[in-house]
Amino acid sequence: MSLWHIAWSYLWNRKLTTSLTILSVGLAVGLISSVLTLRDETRKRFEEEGQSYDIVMGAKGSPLQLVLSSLYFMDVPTGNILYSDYLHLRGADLAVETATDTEITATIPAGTLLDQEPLLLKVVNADAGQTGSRFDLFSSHYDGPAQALNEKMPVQIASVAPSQLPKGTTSEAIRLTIRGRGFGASPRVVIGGHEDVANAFPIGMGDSFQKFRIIGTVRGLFEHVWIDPVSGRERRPFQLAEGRIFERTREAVVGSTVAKQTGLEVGETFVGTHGYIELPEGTGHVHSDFVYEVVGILKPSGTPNDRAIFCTLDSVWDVHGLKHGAGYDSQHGGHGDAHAAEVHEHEHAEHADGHEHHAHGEGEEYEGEHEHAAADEHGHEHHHGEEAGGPPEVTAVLVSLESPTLRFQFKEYVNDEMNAMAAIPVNQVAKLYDQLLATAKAVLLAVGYLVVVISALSILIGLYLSIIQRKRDMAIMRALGASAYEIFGAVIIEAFWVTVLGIVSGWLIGGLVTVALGMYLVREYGLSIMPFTLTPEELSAFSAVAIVGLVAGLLPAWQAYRTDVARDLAEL
Amino acid sequence: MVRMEHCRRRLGPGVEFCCEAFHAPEGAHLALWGPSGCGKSTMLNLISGLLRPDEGVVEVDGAEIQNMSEGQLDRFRGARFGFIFQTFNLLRPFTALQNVLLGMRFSDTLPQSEWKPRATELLERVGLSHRLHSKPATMSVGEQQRVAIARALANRPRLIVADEPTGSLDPKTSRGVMDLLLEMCSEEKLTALLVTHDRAIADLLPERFDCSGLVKEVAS
Repeated sequence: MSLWHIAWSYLWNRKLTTSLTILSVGLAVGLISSVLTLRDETRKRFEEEGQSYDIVMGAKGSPLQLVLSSLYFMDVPTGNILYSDYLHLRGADLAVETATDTEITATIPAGTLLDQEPLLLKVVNADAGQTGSRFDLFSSHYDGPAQALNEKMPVQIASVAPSQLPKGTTSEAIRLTIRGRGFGASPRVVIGGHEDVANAFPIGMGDSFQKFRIIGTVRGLFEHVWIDPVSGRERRPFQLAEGRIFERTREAVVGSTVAKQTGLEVGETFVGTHGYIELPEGTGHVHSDFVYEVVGILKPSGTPNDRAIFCTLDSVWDVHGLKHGAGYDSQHGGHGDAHAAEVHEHEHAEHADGHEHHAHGEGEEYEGEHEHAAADEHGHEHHHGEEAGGPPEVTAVLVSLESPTLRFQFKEYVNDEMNAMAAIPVNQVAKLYDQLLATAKAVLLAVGYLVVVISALSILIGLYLSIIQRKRDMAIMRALGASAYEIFGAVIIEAFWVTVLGIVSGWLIGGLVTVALGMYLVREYGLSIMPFTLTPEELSAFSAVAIVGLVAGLLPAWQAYRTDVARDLAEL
Repeated sequence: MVRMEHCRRRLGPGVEFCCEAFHAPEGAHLALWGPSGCGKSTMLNLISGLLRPDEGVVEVDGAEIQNMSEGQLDRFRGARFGFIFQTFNLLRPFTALQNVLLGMRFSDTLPQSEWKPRATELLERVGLSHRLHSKPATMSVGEQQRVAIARALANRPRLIVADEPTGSLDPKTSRGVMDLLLEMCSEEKLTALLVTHDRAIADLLPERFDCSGLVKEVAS
C-alpha cells in the first residue's frame, strides 16, 4: 500500500470537502484556461482568416476598420473606392472563344483602353487554381515576341499573336491566339492589372438582411483557394452545400449560419434593409422593390462567410440605382476594360428615407480623398457613387499577391500612388491583439491568478483542517512505524491529488466554457474555435497552479510532520 | 526484555514521573496496574519511545532507546512493538485488511510477499474472516478491537504494549478480547505489557506491576 494510495484514501474518505476544494481549484484553472484558449484560438482564427488575402484595399481611414469590415464583416466600412481602382489592380478577363491545354483564342473588345505599362497578359488555369505566366504585350517594351516573365510557372505561354498591341483605345476587336502549355480545360485570360497582383476581388456593401450583411462581389471569389501558412491546410471557404453560385442580378448565395438562423432555403426570396444592424420591424429602409432570390447555400466554413449573403456587384449597385462598371462580368470580375472603367448609366432611384448622402461633385472623387460620414443612426452609410453621374464604386478590394513578400511594397504602392488605402490584414489583427486585447487578457489573467491564490488558500485551509481532525491518525501511523517524512509526504501527495484533479477539471471546465462561448462566436462572428487545446502557455499556467497547490500543502504537511505521537494518542 | 532504571520525565509544572527500577523478562505477560493518573500510560509511552525520559535508562530488547534519533526510534518501534489502544485507533478510511497491512507497510520488517497472507491469516485467527473488507465504521467495538489485535501482531513484534485495551468494551466482550490477546501472545511467544486501571483485568495476567506513586509532585 503506497503513500499515494493512503493519501487518496483519505481524500476519498471526505469526498464532499475534497470535491469542493477540487472545484475551487477547477474554477480558477477553468477561468485561466478559457481566457488563454479563447485568446489564442480567436487570434489563430483571425490570423488564419487574415492570411486569406495579402492586402485589403479600401477608402482611406482606419486600416483596422477596413480589415474588420471587409474580411470579418464586423465594423462599418471606411468608405468607398472607385471600381476602376479595382480594375487597375486586377486587369480584366477577356472572352475566351476556344481553349485547349495548349492553345487559347480570346478577344479584346473594341473600345478597350490599353494604356497600362507594362501591359500584362495572364493565363490562369482555373481547374488547378494556378496563376499562369505573364507577358508584357506592349510594343514599347519589346520588339520581338511576347516574353515569359517567369519561366518556372506550371502554366507557360510560349507565344502570343499578335505579339504587339497598339497603345490607346482599340478601334476594333482584336483576336489573340495564345500558345503554350498547362492551360487546362477552362482557362481564364486576363489583360492588364498590376504585375504583383495574382488575383483581386471587389466587394460592395451597404445593406443587410436581418443582421446579416449583403456582400456584392464577383463569382471568382467563390473559386478563391488559399493555403493557410500556419497549418498548411488548403482552405476553400466558399463551398456550396446546395444550389449554385449566383449568375445574375438579384440572385444570392447565403452563408450556413444565415440559412440556419433565417430559415432561408434555395428558391426563397427576401428583401434587404439599409445598413448593417438589425432594426425593429418597420423602422428600417426596406428595399421592398428589390427582391433577392436564394440560389445557393454555403457549407459551414467556420469563417465570417457563414454569416454573410453574397450576390453580384450589379445587385448592390442596382438596389441603390447606381451605375455599373462597363462590360462587367459577374463570372470572374471586370471584363472588357484594361484600365479605367467606362460606365453606363442606370436609372438612379432616389432614396426617400432622408438618409444623409455624400454629395461628391463630379470629378471630386478622382481628386481628393473620399469623405465619409460615420455611420448614421441607422448604422450605415450610402456608398457606391450614389450621386447621379458618379463613377461606380466598391467598398473594398481583396487582393492576393504573387508572393506574400510583396505585401509591404504593394501596400506602399497603393498608399502612395492610388487614391485609396491598403492594409495587410494579418498585421492589423496582430496589432489588434497586441495592443487592445493584451490589456483585456492581462486583466482576465490577473483575475484568474487571483482565483488561483484563493484556491490555494482553500487547499491550505481544507488540508489544514483535515490534518487537525486527523492528528490521531497521524499519531497512530507514527506508532505503527511511519516516519515523520512519510507523514509529510502523504499530506503533500494529498495536496498534489487535489491540485492535479483541480487542474484536470479546470481544463474541462475551461473547455466547456469555450464551447459555449465558441457557439456564440460562431453565431455572431462566424469564428469557429477549438475548445479543448493544450498550448505551451496553458501548460505553463497549469504548472504554476500545480506549484502553488503544492506550496499550499506545505504548511499542513509540516503540521503533520511535527506530530507529537504520545500527546496526540493521549488527547482523544 | 524491558528495563527501566532511574527514569524521570517532567510532565508539567511541579509534576514528574519517576521510576527507579522496572524489569520485564522476555515472554512475560505483565499488567501495569494502578488508579487513573498514577503514571502507568506515561510508563508505557516511555517504554515504547513515544516519550523520552529526561534522565535515566530505558532498555528494550537489548537496546537503549532514550538516545535514539527520531528516525531510529520510528524504525525500532515499527519492528519491535505491537500497539493496542483503548479506542482501537483503527484508521477509518481503510478496511480491516488494509489496517493490518498498513502496520506491515510502515514497519517494513516482513517481505512484501508475506503481507497479505499473514494479514488474512491473523484476521481469520481473531475470527474476522468475514470482515476483511469492512471499514471500521461498520464494525462493532469488539470486532474493531480484534482487528487492532491482529494489526499489533502483524509484524511479528517482540513486544505487545496495550493501553487499556478493554476500556471501551463491556465486561463480556472485555473478557473475550483479553482471552484472545493472551492466547495469541502465548502462541507467538511475545512479551506483553498491558496497562489497566481495572484490577479484574490485571488479575487475568500472571504478573502485575503496581504503578501507584510513579507520578509525584516535586518542587518546580
